[in-house]
Amino acid sequence: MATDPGRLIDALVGTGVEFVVIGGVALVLHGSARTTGDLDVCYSRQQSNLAALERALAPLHPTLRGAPSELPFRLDVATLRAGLNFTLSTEGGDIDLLGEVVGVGGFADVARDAVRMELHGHPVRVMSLDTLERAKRAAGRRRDLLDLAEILEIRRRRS
Amino acid sequence: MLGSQVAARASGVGYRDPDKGSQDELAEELAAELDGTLIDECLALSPSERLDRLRKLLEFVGSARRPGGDGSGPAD
Repeated sequence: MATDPGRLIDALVGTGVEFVVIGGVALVLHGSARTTGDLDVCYSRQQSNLAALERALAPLHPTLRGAPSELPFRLDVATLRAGLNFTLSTEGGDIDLLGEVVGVGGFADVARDAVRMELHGHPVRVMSLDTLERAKRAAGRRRDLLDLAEILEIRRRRS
Repeated sequence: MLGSQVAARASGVGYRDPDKGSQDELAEELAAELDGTLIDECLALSPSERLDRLRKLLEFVGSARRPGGDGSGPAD
């Protein structure tokens, strides 16, 4: 199934999840022309937020991406509390839940300079371009260099 | 969108792992080969429209990969 980032974001917004859109979708929201096959979000590890995450994603029947289908899995508060980063497949497509972002930190660090964008009528926090750059530099993978190039070009064309 | 050199680097052909100091230099080189007009078109959209554009691209890629798809979708 093709990922529908808007549907996933709507689900998170619908139950009041505290999150910041990061990664490729954040880059797209800043004006990048790239594509990305999943939605990455950094989420608050507060107990109430874990419950909101469970409520948001349960209707989309999340499974662990790449895990055997017979492997029992339930995304609930206990599971979320026991882990940190989750790569999931859902009926709305693929979503990665990150408790921490390499080179940046946890939710509070990511949210600190996040920008608010209006998405389908809802204000949503999106990782700032400066923080995206910091995360991409820290990750340092091949594709991150291409993303750094896009960030440079977006800044150039905005100015 | 990407020039041949950029595509080769993205695929790992002729790629060398950069130290942090050379990231700027490589990123500048790659940026020079980006199709800026496509970025201009994206910048002209609202955030919601950018999200919808991504969804449509992913739908197209998904349909092209399914049996009976024409396989002409863009690479992700």
